Amino acid sequence: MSMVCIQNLCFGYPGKPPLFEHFSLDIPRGESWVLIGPSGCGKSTLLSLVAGLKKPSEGFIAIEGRRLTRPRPESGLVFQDHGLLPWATVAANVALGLKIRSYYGADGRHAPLQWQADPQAQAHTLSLWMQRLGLEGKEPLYPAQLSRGQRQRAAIARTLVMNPDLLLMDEPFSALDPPIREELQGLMADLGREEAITRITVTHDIAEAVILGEKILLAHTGTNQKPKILENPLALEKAPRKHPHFNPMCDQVRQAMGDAS
Amino acid sequence: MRLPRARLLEPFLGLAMLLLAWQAGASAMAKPILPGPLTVIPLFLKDLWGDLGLHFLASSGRVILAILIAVCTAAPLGLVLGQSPRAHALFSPIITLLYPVPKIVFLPVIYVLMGISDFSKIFLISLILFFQILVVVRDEAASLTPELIASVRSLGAGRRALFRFVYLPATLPAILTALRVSVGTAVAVLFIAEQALTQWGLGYYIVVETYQVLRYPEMYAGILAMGLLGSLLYGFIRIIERKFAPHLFIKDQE
Repeated sequence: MSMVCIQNLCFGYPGKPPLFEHFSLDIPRGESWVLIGPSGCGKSTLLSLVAGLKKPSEGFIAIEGRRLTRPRPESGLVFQDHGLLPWATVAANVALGLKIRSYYGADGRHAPLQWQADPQAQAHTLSLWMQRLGLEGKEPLYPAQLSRGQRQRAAIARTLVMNPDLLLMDEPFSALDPPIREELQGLMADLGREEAITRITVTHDIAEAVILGEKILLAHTGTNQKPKILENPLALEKAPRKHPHFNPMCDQVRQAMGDAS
Repeated sequence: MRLPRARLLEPFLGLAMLLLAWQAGASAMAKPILPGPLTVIPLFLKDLWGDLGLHFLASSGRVILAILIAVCTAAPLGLVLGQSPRAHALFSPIITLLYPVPKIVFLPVIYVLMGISDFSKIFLISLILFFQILVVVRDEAASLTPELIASVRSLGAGRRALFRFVYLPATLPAILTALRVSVGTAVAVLFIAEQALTQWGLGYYIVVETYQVLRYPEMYAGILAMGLLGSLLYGFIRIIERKFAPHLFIKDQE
């Protein structure tokens, strides 16, 4: 069964030509997809639609066979802007999602139905992800006291402690300096291999697309109808950036983007 | 974190200097209009347990009620204005026009419309605080980016959780700051409002019961009580700020 099933999707903003028209796409479970295209092509919009933050004007999106009407508690979302609460410590920010779950309880709308509040397991998950994202010792600090890279790490940790089965990331690293960006890209690629979470990452960076996306979906300006997908087995390699096919693959994506527009 | 001893002593040193200057002035002038602290402070401490204390309580009650009314009306309205561009566009010209007008000029209007009652005095003070709180809460709510709201929603937050985890903690410090900076004006307006047709309150005590009958030492005791009221309110708000908005007190390490 596919993880994300987009059927006959239509969406546009008022006063502009539609971004998507009868657009259909299937994303199998456990795969890592990248959505690439120039700004204004609708790639972030498509991600918001899959996140349930926007509603299609026609057609539907189903995740794990269930139609999406609102944000789904099992999906995780990371934005370019870290979205951390400035008045809360790193520890409180990373625990925010779990706190919201406890606040509502397992109602199936805000928290998964089978979810159970287990403070001990939660504390364990929190320290595990803090550690994996290199945030140990930063718990009592506020976001203003962190570097940009650390803030983005905290935002990623906040999403991953929720144990999502679908991870949606909208230009997660584009505000970061190149060395930190490359480090986090590597980290996300490793995580994907270990955790088998279905991932969709939006980017405009070709190298990032080749590192993170085993399937690269090309969006173009104007109305997107039939999805254009590039297979990229390189993303499954251990160190794609050092692979001899890395530059040719980047060229292939660049050319495909040129053809698409 | 503890302050070094010298830093703890400094405020007392400043206070002592003020009292010395006051005593020196009083001695130099040697007129009834300026009694020295040696006369006034014992009187103040004694009277605070008598009528002066009741006047003090009457004034405090009015200010605290006014604060509650202002917070309960201005904070929700500010949130709506900050989060809804349409409401903002509709109401911001009115607020821009009314905000700089010193609200004390509405005193006659309020008296005529609402009668010279306790409530009209409280209403006038809450009007001052209302606009201060409204403007800061509106701006604070407007600074919550759509990305921040969307990312918290993506963690499962509905309207209730957004209020509990985002809007409330985001605006509480703003409300407290607005209160802290405007509480002085509120007390000043209270002083004026209490001069008319009431039997209780520090404004009445200072002007009618002491100044007009030339009881100058008692008048100064009233002024001290007014000062105490302002400082207590300020200090109390500061304590709440430390408790609920600790991130405002961190030193930026960047």
